[in-house]
Amino acid sequence: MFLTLARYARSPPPDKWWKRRYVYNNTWRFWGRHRNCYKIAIQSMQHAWRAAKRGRREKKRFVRGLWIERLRAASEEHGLSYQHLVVGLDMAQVQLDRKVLSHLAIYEPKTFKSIVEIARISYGEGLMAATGKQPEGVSLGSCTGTRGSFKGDLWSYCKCRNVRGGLMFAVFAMTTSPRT
Amino acid sequence: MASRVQQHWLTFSRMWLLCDARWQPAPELAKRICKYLEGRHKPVYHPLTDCGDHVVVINTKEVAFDKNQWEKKLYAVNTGYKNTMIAMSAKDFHRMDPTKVVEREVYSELPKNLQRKNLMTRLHLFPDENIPDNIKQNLVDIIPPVMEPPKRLDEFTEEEKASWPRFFIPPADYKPSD
Repeated sequence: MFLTLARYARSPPPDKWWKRRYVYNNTWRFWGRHRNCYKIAIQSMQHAWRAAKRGRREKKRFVRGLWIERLRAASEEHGLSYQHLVVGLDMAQVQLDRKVLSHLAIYEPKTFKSIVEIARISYGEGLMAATGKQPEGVSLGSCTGTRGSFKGDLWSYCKCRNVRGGLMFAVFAMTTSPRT
Repeated sequence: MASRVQQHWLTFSRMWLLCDARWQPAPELAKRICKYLEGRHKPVYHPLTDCGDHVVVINTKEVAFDKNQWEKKLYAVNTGYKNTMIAMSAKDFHRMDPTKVVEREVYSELPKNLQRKNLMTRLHLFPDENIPDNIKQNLVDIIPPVMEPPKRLDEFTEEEKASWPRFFIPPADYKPSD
C-alpha cells in the first residue's frame, strides 16, 4: 500500500514484461509486425478475439443450415420434401434432431429410408385424422391408441395427436396439406 | 459385393446427367442445373467438398423466357474502363450462339467463388439433340424437367380433343358472326 511517500518511493513499478509476454503468446502466429510490436499486436489480438467470438455463433448457424441442406437432398431421393419430413416426424413424435437424421442419411441409408416412410405415412395419416378418415395400408402402432378420442373437430384432433402449439398448428398442418 | 474402400470411392464418383432444355424457363433451369453441378442433391454435400456431377444439356436452342424477356434482358460485358460496356439483348445473344444464354444464366447462378470456373467445365451444352459418342456413353441419368413442355394443338389426338371439357356448348342453330 502506498500509504506514505516513503513506501511509494521504495515500491518498484509493475513489470511490463509478463503483461506483454501474454499478448505475444497469443500473436506469435500473426504476420509481420503484428507479432512483435506491442501496440499493433494487442490490437490484432483483440480483433482476432472479436472475430473468434462472432465465428463461434456463425458456426452453429452454418452447421444447422448444412444439416438441413443434406436432409433436403436425402429426403428428395425418396420423393418426400424436407418440410413434409420434419412435420411428419413431429406428428409421429419421433424426436430425432437434424444432426442425427443427417448422419443416418449418410451412414445408414436404409434406416433413413424407413424413417422417411414413417414421416410420409404420419403426414398423410394426420391429415386424414383431421378430416375424419382412416388411412389405408400400414398404420403406425404408437398412434393407434390415441386416435380413438378424435371426435371430428379440431380441438379433439389436437388433443388426440398431442399436437404441439395446439389449434394454430393443426390449422397450419391442414392448410399446408397436399390435396389428394 | 464391393469392399468398404470401393464403396467409399463410389460415393465421390462423378455421374453424367442429361438435361433437356426444350421449352424450359432459363432462370429456373439454371437453378436446377446448379443444384446438380454443386452436388446439392447428395446427402454428403459440403461447400468445400468437390462432389458435383457432370450435366449435359441438350436442345439449348429451344430454351424459353417469359414475358418480353427476350427483348428486355441484357447480357453485358465490361472491361473496367469508362464507357466500355457492351450490352446485347437476350434475343441477339441467343442468335449469336444458341448455347450462350444457358451458359450465362448458370454462370451467374453459381456461387461466386474460386470453384465457379471448375464447375463450369463440367457443364456441357449442345444446341440440338446431337451429342458426341464419347459423352453419350457416359450418361447414366436424367434430370427431371422444371416444367412439362406444353403440347401443341396438332399433337392432340381426335379422342382427346373430343373428350376435352367445354365451357359452352352452342345450340344447334348457332351461327358465329364473321
